[in-house]
Amino acid sequence: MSIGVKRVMSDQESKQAEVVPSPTDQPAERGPRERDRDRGRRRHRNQPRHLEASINMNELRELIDLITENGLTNFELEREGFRVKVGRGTFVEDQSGQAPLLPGGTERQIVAGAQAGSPVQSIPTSAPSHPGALAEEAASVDQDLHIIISPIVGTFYRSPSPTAESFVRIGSEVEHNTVVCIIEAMKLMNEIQAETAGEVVKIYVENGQAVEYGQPLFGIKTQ
Amino acid sequence: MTSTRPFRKILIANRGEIACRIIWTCKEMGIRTVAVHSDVDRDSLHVRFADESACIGPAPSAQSYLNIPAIISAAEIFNVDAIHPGYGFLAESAYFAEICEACNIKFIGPRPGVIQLMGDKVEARRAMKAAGVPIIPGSSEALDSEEEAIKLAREIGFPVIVKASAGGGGRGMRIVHTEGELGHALETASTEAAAAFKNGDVYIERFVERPRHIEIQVLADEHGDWVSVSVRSSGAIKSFWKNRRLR
Repeated sequence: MSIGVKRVMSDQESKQAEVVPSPTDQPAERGPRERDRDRGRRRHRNQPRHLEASINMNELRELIDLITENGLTNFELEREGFRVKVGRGTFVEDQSGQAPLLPGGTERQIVAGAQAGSPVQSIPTSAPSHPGALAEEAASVDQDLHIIISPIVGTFYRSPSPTAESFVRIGSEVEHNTVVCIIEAMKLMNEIQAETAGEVVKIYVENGQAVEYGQPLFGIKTQ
Repeated sequence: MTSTRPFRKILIANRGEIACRIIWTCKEMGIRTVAVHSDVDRDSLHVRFADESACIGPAPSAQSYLNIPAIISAAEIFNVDAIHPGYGFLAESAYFAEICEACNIKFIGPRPGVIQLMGDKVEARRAMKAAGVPIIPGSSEALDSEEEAIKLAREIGFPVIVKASAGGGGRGMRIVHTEGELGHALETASTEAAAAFKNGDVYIERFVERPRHIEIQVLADEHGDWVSVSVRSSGAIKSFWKNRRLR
């Protein structure tokens, strides 16, 4: 048997492993549903025809582990009777252009062609765009600060009115009942209090930004 | 408030399988979706499938999925055209439908007045009778006294069933075979209804002992077009669920 290995570095392909049956075995274009029907019909045989004398699932898994461990982006392997192509995507399209996928996130999207029941929808592994994404990342490194989080969904404002001064800025001292911001929800201006004493050292959101429940707003260094 | 412009973006005020189903349908229709979730449901499937999402509250439903200000606020900051309530939660809340209307957000469901009308069984029966739809013989008002109930029951003929006007899910109902049982049945049904539905009104109607339950589902839109979707027998399904509950 001949083994050909090709390393191809390209960034844009989405992550898929196709076990492509060799041309002599089956017609070129077979959708996932047709492959499944074949599996059903051939269940009484030991293995689907296009997998015989090729690669087994354990080998495939090892291959995928090798690829991800070494940070390869694309990988092709050809043997007599089959060809495997694995590609790893790095960015998922995101309307607001926010944070990229976390490194571990894309692994689950590998779909080997021989696996049963191709789903109608493959499960997205990244979170959709939500208001708190960036703030959460920023606040997660500030473990020693008291984080003031938003108690409601709404729009964050730093001052009582567009022309007024901000309630607080970096370096401001706050007490428990110091109003630090306004969150507007359904046309009502809700004043948010610090509920702790200390100094404002971080501000995680911008004036006029949408915020969700639990979103980090301020980092306070407590006494 | 009718508009012929199709929705660009919808917020789904629900979770679980119904939220997923709505989101998938929106994808097919090219409509953008916003999911809302409590802080513990952050990794739920419906959140992952939506285009955008927002956390609207802590775990208890009352503070999240039933939290009307939070949901409306999320709808506003994402600038959605409409809210789909799914089923359960706020789907049968006339109040929520009214608020959506007041905030210029389309509520995907019946008008508030219709939700109100059909959610009150006494009113619903009256409306059906006025529309010429045959209904089971029974009281046309909520019952005021045991005497009134007895008088009516004699006219209708036993067995009768006492039912909570605001009821659902089989609660606030009592089957009555003889006059002597009626007083007690009225009391317990009413108490159960008040506890479960905040409304102790009850009425009576003839109890059909071995019914064939056939459902015909009718869908209508605000332009006056309607379609009848299917005919199905829910007798088997209903008794399955009723048996589960009695255990």
